[in-house]
Amino acid sequence: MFNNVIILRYGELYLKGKNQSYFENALKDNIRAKLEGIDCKIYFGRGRYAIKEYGEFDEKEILDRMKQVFGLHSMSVARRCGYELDEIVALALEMTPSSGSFRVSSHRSNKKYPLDSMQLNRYVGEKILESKPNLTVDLHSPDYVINIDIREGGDVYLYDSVIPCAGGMPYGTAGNGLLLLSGGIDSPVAGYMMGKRGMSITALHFHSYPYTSEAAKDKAVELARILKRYCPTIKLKAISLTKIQERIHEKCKPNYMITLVRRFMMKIAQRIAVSESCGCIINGESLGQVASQTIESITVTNAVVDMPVLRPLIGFDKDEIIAIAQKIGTFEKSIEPFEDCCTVFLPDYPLIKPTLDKVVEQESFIDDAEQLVEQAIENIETIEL
Amino acid sequence: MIYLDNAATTIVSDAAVSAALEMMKENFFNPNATYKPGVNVKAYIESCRKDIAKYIGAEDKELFFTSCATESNNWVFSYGRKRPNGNVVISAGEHSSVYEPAMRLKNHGTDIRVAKLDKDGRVDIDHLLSLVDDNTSLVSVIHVSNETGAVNPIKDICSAVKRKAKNALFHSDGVQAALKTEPINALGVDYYSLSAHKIGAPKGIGLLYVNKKLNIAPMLVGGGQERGFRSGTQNTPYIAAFAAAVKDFVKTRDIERTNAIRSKLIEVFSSAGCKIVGKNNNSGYILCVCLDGAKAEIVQNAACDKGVIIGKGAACSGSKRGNRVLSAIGLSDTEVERCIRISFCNDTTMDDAVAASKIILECADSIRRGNV
Repeated sequence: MFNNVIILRYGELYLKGKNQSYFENALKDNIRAKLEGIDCKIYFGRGRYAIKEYGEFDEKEILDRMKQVFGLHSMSVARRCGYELDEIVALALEMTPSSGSFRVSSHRSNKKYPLDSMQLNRYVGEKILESKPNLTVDLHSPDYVINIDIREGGDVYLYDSVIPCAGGMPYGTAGNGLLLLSGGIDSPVAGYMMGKRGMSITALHFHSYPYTSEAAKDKAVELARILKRYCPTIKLKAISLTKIQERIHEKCKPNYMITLVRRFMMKIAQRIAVSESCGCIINGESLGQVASQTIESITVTNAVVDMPVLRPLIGFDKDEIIAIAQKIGTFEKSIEPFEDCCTVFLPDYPLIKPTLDKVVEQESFIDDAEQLVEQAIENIETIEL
Repeated sequence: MIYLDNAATTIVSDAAVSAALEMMKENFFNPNATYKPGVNVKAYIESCRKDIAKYIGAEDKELFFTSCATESNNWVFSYGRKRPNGNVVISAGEHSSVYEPAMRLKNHGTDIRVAKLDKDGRVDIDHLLSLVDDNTSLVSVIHVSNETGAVNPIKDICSAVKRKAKNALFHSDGVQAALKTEPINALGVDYYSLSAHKIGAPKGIGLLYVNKKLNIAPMLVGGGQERGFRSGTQNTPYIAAFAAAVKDFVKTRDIERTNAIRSKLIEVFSSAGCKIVGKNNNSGYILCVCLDGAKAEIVQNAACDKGVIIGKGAACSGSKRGNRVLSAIGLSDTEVERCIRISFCNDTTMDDAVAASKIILECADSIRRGNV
C-alpha cells in the first residue's frame, strides 16, 4: 500500500494576528483548487497541512503544483507508520543510508506519546547505529536528518528532506492589480512578484497587429498561462495600439514615439484598471534598463495616471530578473524573437531624458487623442486562459 | 482564402486522405506480421514504393521511407559519408536540415566548406568546385531553393564534382524539386531527400533515395524494417497517402501553366517597383519578392486578414531572426526583412494569383503610408 504523505508548511502567516484565519482560509482554498483533478485527501492542522491518500504516480504532480502555491513555505514527502516503536525504527532504517553522519529529530504533536522527543531521538538513533555501524551521529551538521513527527490519531510521519515552496502570501489576499504584460522577460516576473505578495492579477497586453504578428500576441497569452500556475484567477485583456502608433508616427517627432506610446498605454491602463476593480498598475520597469525606464521617462509616463504604479523590479539587475524568470518558467517563452509593440516605428535614437512640457507639446499635435483611446478601449479583447 | 504558401506545406489531397484512412481503419495491420492481412499490407507498401519510384525517377529498392526530409538529410550527414575524415562541401543556400547537420559535423572537427551563391540564389559552381578536392567525402547542394525557388543544375554540378573528386558522394535536398523538375535518375546523385507534405500528402513522411550502387549504414536500428536500413514500424497510412499524392500531383501538374502564373506575377510586382529575387533559372512554383518599403512580416499579417496567405523566408525558421540564405545572396538586412515568398501548387489559378498579388501590393502600400 502506498503510504506517503506530503507535509505542507506555511511561512509568513505565522506573523499574522487576529486576521490569521482570513489568510489561512485563502491559502486552504488555493491549495484545494490547485489539487483539483487529483484524487487525494487534504488535512488542515495547526501550523501545517498534509496531503494523504493519493496515488503513487500523482506524487510528483502534487509536489510540482504545491511549489506554485503562494503562502506555502516548504514541504516534505513523509512516509507514514503507526505508533509502535518497532515500526518507526524499521521505517527509519529503510530511510537511512549505510554510511555518513546522521541525526534523529523528533517532534510530538501528540504530547501523550509515552516517549518524549529526546527519548525518541536517542532510542531510534541507537537502533540505527546498531544496524548500521558505519554511520556516525552528528547533531550539528549531519549528512542526513531523520525527522520523526508523532501526530495525533495514531500516525507517525518520517521524512528526510525539506523542499522549498514559493513563499509569500496567499494569492487573492492583497487586492487587485493591473499588470502591463508585454512579451518580454520583465513583465511576467513583475506579475509573479505581486502575485507572491497576495495580489490578484489582471493582465493587459498591448499589441500592434498587423505590425506585430499573431505569434507575438500568442506569446503574451502563453506567458499569462504560465503565470496562471501561480496566479490561479489571472485574466488577460488585449488592446490594439495600432491606430495610436500610426497617428503618433504621422503627427509627432519620431524620437518621441516610445514616450508618447507609453503615456497612451498608461492612460488606457488606468481606465481598464478602474473597470476591472484594480487598485494599481503593475509594470516590469527596472531603473535605467532602457531609454523608457530612466527616471525622467518614468516621471513623464507616470504623469498621466493618478493611481499607484507598482514597479516590483525597479531595483533589480537584468541577471536577477532572468534568474526569477527561469525559476518560474517564463524565460524560455519570453526570449522567443517576436516583435512587441514597442518595436513598431522604432526611432533610431529614442529620447532618454524627455521633459514633460515638450512631451505634452508633441501630444497636442494629436487632436483626436481622446477618440483614439476610446476606440482602443472599445475594441478590448478578453482572452481565455 | 487564397493560399500561396505551398512551399511551406500543401493541403492534403482527397486521394491522399482516402488512402491514409483506408490504411488506418481497414488495413491497419502491422506490415511485419506474418499472417495474411499483415502480408497484404506489406505488399501494398511495396506497391506504393514502386509507384513513387516510377514517378520520381528511381528504382523501388533505392527508396527508404523516413519520417521527413530532415531525417533523410540528417541520415546522410551522420552515416552517408564513406570517409569520416574527409571534408564536406555544402552550398550557402541549404535548408537548415542540411546546414545544421553540417555545422554539427564542424563542431566535431570535420572540415566544412561552404560554397557561395550568385545573385539569383544559385550556387556559384566555380567556387564550389574550387572547394572540392581529393579528400572531399560529401557534397550537398539543394536542388530547388526553398527560399527563392532558384534551381541548381544538379546534373552538371554532380558530374563536375565527380570528375574532380571521384570518391566524393553527392547529395541533393530535393524537397522543393520533386515532381517539379528532372527525375532523380537523370541527375547522377548518390543521395536525394524528399518530403511528402510539399506535394499533397500529410506531414510526417518523407524518403531518402540511395543510389543502388551504394550501401548506407542505418541511422535507426531496431526491428530491421526497410530492409534493415530504417527500423521502426512503417507508417503505412502515410506511405499510402504519399503514393496517392504523387499520382495525383503528376495528374494535375502543368508546369507551363505554373510558370506562366509566376511570370505574370513577376510582371505585376516588377511594375510596382519591387525587386524579384532569383528571377532567372527558377522553379515555377516559388517566387521571392523584395517589397518596396514594407516589412514582409507586417504584409503577411495584413494580407492574411484579407484572405491571402503567403510566406516570408522559410516557415521552418519562422522563429529565428534574419535569413541566412537571403543574406548569402547578397541582400541587405533591410531587403531581407522585406522579402515575401509566394509559392504555388497545381490548383493555383491565374485569377487567384493575380488577385492575391494586388492585395499584397495594397497591403504593402498601406503599411508604407502608416495606415493599415
